[in-house]
Amino acid sequence: MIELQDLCKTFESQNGEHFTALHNITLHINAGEMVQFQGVSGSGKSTLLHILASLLKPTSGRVEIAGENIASYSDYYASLYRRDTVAYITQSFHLLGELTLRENLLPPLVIKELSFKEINAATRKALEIANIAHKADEKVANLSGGEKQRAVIARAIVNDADIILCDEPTANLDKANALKFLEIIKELKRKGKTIVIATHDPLFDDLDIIDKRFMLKEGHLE
Amino acid sequence: MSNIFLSPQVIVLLFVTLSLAVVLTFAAFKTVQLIKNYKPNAVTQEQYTLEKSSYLITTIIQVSLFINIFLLALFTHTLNSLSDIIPGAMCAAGVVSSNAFGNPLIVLKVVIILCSLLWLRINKEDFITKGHPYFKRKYLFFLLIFLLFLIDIFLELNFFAHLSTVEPVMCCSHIYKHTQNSFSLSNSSLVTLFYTLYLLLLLTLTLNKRLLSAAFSLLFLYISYLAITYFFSTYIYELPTHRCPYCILSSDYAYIGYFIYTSLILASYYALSFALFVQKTELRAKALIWYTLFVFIVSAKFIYFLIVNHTTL
Amino acid sequence: MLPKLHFLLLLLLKHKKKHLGIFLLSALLIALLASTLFISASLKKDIFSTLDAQADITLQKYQAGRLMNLPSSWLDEALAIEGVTKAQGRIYGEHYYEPKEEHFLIVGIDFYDEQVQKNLQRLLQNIDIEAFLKRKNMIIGTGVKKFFNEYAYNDYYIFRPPNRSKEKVYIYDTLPQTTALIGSDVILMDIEEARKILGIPRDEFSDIILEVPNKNERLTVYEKLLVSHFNTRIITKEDIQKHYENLFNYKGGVFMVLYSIALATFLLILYQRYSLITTADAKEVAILKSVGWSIKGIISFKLEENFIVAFFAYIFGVIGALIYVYVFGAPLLRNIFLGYNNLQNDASFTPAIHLSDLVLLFLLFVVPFMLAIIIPLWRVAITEPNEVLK
Repeated sequence: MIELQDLCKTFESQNGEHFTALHNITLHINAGEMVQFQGVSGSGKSTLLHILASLLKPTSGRVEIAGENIASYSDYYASLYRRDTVAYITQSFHLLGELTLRENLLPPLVIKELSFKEINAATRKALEIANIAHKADEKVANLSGGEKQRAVIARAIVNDADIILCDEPTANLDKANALKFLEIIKELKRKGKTIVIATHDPLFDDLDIIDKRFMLKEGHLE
Repeated sequence: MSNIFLSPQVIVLLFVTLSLAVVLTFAAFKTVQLIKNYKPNAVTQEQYTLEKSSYLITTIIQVSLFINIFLLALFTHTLNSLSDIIPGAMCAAGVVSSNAFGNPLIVLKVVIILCSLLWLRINKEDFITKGHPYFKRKYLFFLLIFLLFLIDIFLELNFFAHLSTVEPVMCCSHIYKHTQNSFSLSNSSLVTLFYTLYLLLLLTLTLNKRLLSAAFSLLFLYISYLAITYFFSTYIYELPTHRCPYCILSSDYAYIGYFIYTSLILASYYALSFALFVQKTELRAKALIWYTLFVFIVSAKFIYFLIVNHTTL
Repeated sequence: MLPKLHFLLLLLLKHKKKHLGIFLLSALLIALLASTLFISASLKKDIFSTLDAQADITLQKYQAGRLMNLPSSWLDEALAIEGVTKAQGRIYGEHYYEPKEEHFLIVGIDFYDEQVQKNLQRLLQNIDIEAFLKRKNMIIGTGVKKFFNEYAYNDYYIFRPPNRSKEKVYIYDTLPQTTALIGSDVILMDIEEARKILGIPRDEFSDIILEVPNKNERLTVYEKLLVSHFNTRIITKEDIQKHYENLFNYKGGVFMVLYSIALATFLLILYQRYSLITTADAKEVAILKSVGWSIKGIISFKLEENFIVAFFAYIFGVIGALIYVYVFGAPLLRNIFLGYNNLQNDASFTPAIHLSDLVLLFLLFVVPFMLAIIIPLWRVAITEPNEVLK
């Protein structure tokens, strides 16, 4: 499903200094697997996830998803990939605060030229999986941290993506909400999704549903 | 300065045209950079930056070309209303032919519109195809359109500057009074040619003869202009001596001219984009429909006259 | 398509504060220009409706560059030309009131002429021609009336003709307000009375008007008149119309040029305003991108969003201008168009709205508006989402 080959990413700061966030990453993730990337902050986990989400282009190397190198995609194909294939869940909850939860699920749906009926159906399903349907018409700014997290999940899965990327999903959650998150993730794995989690939360350390663990240290895979 | 420049329509026209010129010039500069540096399928940072600037350029071009289409309508409308302040002019024909810049300007504007429509089509195809097969070609094509646009501005400024509100000009019945047109075709052979070309176009398009149908569609564009001016318009005006390609644009004839010319230009555009760029049957179908619609609107009054009077005008 | 529009309007409503400043400024600019367009169209309509009743051809005699009275023999000569169905001599001239340096235009009309009677009745519904002719009567314009009232000539006025006699003429009625634009300083009276007051001999006229109903014959008539006497000036109805059209274009045009400068300034403000990318903008773009929006999609979405703002500003501006001109009578702006000449002009505006004017205004405003924001919007659309999505 996901195949990385000699992936490198170098950032250039404004004063011309180069900083290499990822060094020659090569790895393979099968479809339906749940994978964890471990490592301290700044080890390159987020950068890797951004590249997998096609929000960032690598400096060199290949990123093959289902046999296609998404690094060579034009913005149009990259956007189709983000829309249909990959879902991205962040640690800080990026939602449109002035809108209700239901309205926050519109952006991924309106670009698919669906009818209102189809949109409502997809919304209902996603809200149920994310266990947040009861807050559908609440303004997002008024939701609690855990509810916001589930709102982000609902929006991420509303287009039924095959790959789910989670960047420090439990960093801003209390224990009870973190456990709820795990429940949802398990459910998604049961549905056959490929799940990539970047986290250093010890909560994930002895989870038996995780198939592979990778350790990132200063941009190197160990 | 000619006081034509103080007519509100002309001011709006020039203001809008000049603001288009500003953004298009910007886009043209960016385009040159793009063509120089773009390497297809390269995955360097420079390519990503270039790709991003290509979105700016295409947006500017798209919006500008779209606006330009409306400007042509405004331009013809302006010509018609300028005939109110130019002595002797009854309609746009007198205004257009009052100096040497008018007729080339009109021809150029039609060419630009046609090219613009084709460009928009190529751009759309390029955008949704992996690897951008038309990338360099479409930007070169844009530079060509930009060049035409600059010539257009030059002609337009000169045209208005040389319009006089004092010297009388000829009216349309005078300008087109000769039954002899530039091909020295008689009216009957002109009309025969018109309908023959129409049938040939239908045939070549259906048989996928691409170059042939492109050639025919260009020829048909010109023959249609002649046929409308010297033959079909007289039936619309119901006056055998009134020959004019512009009066049909006025409210006296329910703006029928705008429908006639729009359908002709659209038909030519679909036919040309099918013949020259993308072989999509959907485009061909549209070309056939618009050609037929055009021929129908143009001939309606002529055929009605034939049926009622059993003779021609 | 519809769900996208729904989402667009949703965001617009939530971000109304962000757009309010631009919206108000735009509406104000549009209202200003729309007002001038409406005023100018109304004035044109009034003038042209009056001009339409004008004679097809007016024949005048010029000598040494000055307008002279012409002999009545010219009347028969003109009538003999093929195509002329009617020729009529006119008597008119200025009456100068020395103490106040005011001019009135005295126009003598033939009250026995049927056409004249019909025209008058259209103007003044309850005019009784017989009663009018029983004594020396006149019909005066609104400006004249105001002037007479000021000097307590409420029922009559005493003219002093060149032959040193006194002519006492009663005020019969006042012309309606709608004719005020060009009829403000007019005095209508019987043709013989006008001759007396203006001192024009019996065998002369001020000028001759001709009726040529067939438009196509007018040119021929024009040519024949031209060769009949070499000291004539021939004015066709179209000439007068073109003259006025040019005059209005000139006044409107000067305003348009000034307006274009204001518009250019506004566009610069617009460009500056949209070049500021707030963190909220960047966040919104990052969210949209992460769920699958393309750069192109975001640019067109933003363009549509701003088009709606510009469009509603346009609608508001036009409605504002309608109220300003037709309900309040366009205070301040009216002076630019009406000027201060002659007697005070009391013209009010007859509604005249042309679709083409509105389209023109729309193009003049919305096109530069959209062009000015493309580059800033593109900058917003290409912000890197990975900076924001941490």
